[in-house]
Amino acid sequence: MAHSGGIDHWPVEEIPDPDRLFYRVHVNSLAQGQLVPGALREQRNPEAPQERGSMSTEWEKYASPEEALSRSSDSKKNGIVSLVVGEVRKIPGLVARHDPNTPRPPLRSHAGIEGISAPVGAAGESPYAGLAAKKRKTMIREKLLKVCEWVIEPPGDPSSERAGVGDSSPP
Amino acid sequence: MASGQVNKEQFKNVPGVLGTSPAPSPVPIPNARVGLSPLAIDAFVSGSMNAPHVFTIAGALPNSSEPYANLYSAINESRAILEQDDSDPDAPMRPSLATWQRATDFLAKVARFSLARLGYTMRIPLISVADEGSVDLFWKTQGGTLLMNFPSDPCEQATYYGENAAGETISGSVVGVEGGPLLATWLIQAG
Repeated sequence: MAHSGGIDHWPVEEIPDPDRLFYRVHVNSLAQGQLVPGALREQRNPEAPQERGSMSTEWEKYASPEEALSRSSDSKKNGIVSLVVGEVRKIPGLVARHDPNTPRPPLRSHAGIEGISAPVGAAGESPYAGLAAKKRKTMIREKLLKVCEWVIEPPGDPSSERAGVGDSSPP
Repeated sequence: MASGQVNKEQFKNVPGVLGTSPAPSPVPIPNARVGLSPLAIDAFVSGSMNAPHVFTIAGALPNSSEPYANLYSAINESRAILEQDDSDPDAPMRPSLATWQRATDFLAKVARFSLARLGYTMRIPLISVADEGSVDLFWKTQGGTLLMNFPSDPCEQATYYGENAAGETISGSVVGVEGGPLLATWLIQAG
């Protein structure tokens, strides 16, 4: 397991429902400074784009929000939201699991939320193909947003103060 | 109700929607510096327009006395997503101009329908990048939410999903501007 360069394989554990996952959000994903469903995305392996993607997060058992933020490309352009695992698992077709060995090098805190583009377990002649999959994905992102909470907000966006946008007053 | 269905019953008494009651005559629509020609608006309002058409957001903001001033301002501000640096590995993929235009064209048309036909000034959604170069429109009110996604592939239909405070849902896809009246009505009911 361990070698001179460090750990290259971590045991996979079951994540309890009450635990939180931390997800990085880049400021470019915000709209008027607000968290929106567009910020919730799967990452795919560029070397195997046909593989199922997952939303890359970090498990609070092994990482603090600050540590998760420190692994961003630029901590001044990112924030951290948390998602309670049990709430994620209530969304049909979504799975949250410990996935420490996919990153290179392995990262003990790494966890993935799978099933956004297609429900976990669907294979072959899935009813969620083509347009049905797109409609489902839109629904999933809307539901997933509701279980996200800011833990570390990214730098402010002055334009977020403009009235008449989003959940502010009507124009 | 289950996702993937539209509760048409709740729209049955809304004039001009679902064809269950006569639609009122369109009210005069102010001349806009951006957007649709009067003929195009009539086509949309009458439901005869069933394919997207091209129109360009002009650089100048419309006169603030126009009822759509805030909407056009939001649309123009959202152009910033076309200029974002997406070389950062954590940043989302920048949408194309065509994808952004498709989303904002739809938005402008639904807003015009909402005011001209339903007498309702539509709330302004958050306009954002989403995954794989797509664009989202997201409405969030006390009465519910509505999310629309416009894919980067122009051949793919836009999809939507909404929930209201009563737990009712709306879900589907739109081709061109079809579905706009239904979504406008949903937004009215969501408050």
